[in-house]
Amino acid sequence: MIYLLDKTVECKEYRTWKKRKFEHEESQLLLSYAINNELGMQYDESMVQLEKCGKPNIRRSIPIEYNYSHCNGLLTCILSDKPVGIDVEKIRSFSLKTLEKVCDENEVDDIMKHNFPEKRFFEYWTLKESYVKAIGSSIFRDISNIHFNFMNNKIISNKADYYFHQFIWKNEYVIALCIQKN
Amino acid sequence: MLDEIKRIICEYVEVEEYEIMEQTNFVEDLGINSYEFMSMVGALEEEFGIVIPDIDVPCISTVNDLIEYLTRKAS
Repeated sequence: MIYLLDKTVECKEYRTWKKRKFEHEESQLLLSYAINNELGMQYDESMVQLEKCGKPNIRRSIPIEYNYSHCNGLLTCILSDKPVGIDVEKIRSFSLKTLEKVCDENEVDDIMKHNFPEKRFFEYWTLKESYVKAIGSSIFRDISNIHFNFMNNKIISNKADYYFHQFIWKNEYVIALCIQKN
Repeated sequence: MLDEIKRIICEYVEVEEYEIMEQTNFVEDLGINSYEFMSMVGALEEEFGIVIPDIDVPCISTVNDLIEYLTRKAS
């Protein structure tokens, strides 16, 4: 299940570092709520262990995986019985240089032809980030190996072992999630 | 070089230039996220006329790491 908490108003005035600290603390509360809701367990940090790749996860004795993401005070968290990743970003302008670094030729072409290029760009970015978070990797290690396209509004990827889903929050934020198939 | 780096950092993170020091850690001290870092790397490439391969980026944790990396690239 996905959980979402909108704290965008509270952290509007915060600078980046304070915003991230606030978001991290609030995300822990959201995770705690989600675990209590789904497992009936009280969350504490000792439940979390780092996997070999460095991805934080719930101890193996508890059959659940989680991931969370935050941006500008919008907090998201997902719990699943499969490896999972989630990413949220605010739709905003981007530089052509960043576009070149993030997207392949076909994706760039799609973005430039889109009637809302900023939204389309962050759709690609969040999908890629959700995938690397699901596998416990780094965007810098894997970005050149992840490719997407949108066919009749369906998300098509070269990662056949994963489901992807995406939605827009208040026309301002893109949220993408990635879940490993069976 | 440090002044140029500080100027670029301030384009991506809400921080004052005087708060940035060589030992400043991008994630722990500035709270930069992966998208901001990716964008900043792009801006550094343009500013210094170099290519920073994605594989090199995880080795850059602090401003000093970045200075040393750019210095090596320049030589």
